[in-house]
Amino acid sequence: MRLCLAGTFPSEKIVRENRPEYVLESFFYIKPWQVEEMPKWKMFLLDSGAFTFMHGVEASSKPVDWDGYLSRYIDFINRHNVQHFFELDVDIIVGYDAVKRMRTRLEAETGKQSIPVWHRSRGLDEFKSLCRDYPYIGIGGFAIKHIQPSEYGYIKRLVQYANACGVRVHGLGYTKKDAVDFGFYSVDSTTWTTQVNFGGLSYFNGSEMVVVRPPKGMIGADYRIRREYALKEWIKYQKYLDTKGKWRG
Amino acid sequence: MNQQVVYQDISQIHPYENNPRNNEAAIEPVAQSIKEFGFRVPILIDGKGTIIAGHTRYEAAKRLGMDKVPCIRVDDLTDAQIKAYRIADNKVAEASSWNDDVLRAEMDALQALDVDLSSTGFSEVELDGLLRDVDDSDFEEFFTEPAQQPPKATDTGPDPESRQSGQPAPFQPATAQQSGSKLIQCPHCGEWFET
Repeated sequence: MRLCLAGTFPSEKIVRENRPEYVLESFFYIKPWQVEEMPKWKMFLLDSGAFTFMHGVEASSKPVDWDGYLSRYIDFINRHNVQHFFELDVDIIVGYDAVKRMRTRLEAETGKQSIPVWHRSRGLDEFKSLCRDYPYIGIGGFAIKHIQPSEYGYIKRLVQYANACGVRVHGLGYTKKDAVDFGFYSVDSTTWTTQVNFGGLSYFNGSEMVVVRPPKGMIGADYRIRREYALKEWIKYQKYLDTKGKWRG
Repeated sequence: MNQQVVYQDISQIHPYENNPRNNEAAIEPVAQSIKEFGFRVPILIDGKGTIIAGHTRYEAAKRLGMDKVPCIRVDDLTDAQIKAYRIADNKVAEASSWNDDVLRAEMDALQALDVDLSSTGFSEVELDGLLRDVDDSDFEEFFTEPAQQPPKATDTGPDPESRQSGQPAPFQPATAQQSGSKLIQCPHCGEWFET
């Protein structure tokens, strides 16, 4: 299974030096240095960043220009020949029909299939339809609790269904340890850096990541050192997970 | 129960057509193990030569070009029992787990005997993590007394916002005390400020 490290955009120096295997970045945040590094990563996934964009627009009380955002997204994908990119899965804002229209335009103007992101609101039939039409799909809603932990068993069945169709599934923000058992082809996580933000770090013990929190009465010291240490350890974890599950290497 | 190991021509045995295990990734490591240690665990077959347990060993043996493989023919189970045992043989093994401390000690002992640890089937990255002797003192440099103002971080920035909620990821700023005043760390630039 491929674990994509997300949120690397502020960490140019250490990411260039240590080179993660798989990276996911949001179009909203992506930096020029990441574009330069892209060919060096085994796989790069581009998220649309549509929600982040909308949040910024809402804060400024301007109307949301989805066409303009999509145009910039398409232009970026074409200019940098991005192979794997998610659709703008803003169903909850614009409705699924509008999402499908944006997907159609995205794919027509890039000449490539996007990675559609299934949400539970799309229903089971749509999941099966995506499995028929796409080799790589995403499942969203974990991070925002649209899919509750008590419902993960159903999701596992969906992933198994997709796998039986030969379809690879990305679990967006699915960071639980059982992701490999679910049959996900890939998942993404910002945990490598959020632990550092909270004063700690983590290391790989040969089978899982172990979190180290500041001892009582202490706080995290130099941010950069902890972040670099954590990144190196998470890259080891990426390599380990790459040998596990249905989808390896 | 008296079980006899027979050396069966590999062309005379065949996989069960509905074997529910995905063995492909395990074939090469098992082949390497057979090369290193020999074919030590016989394949279980039924009266028709269909494999009950040992599909990966069978494929590994084929990959190694073996003509004959050790087998045990099972003739005291019903067809239903055989069908269930095929699953149970794999499933029950999942209940056990590694005792990391004991495993580490065994690996250390093997290293002392100059044994190539890759022959154990563990990958380099697994061994790297397993054999590392981690102690609390290893992390001392990463933490500091609150009174010491942490250096300004230049390689920091805002964490990506929660991808789909559109809301910034919850961030609880780090705080510290210094000379009676409270310090707070900016979640965006990492700078420490007095409040």
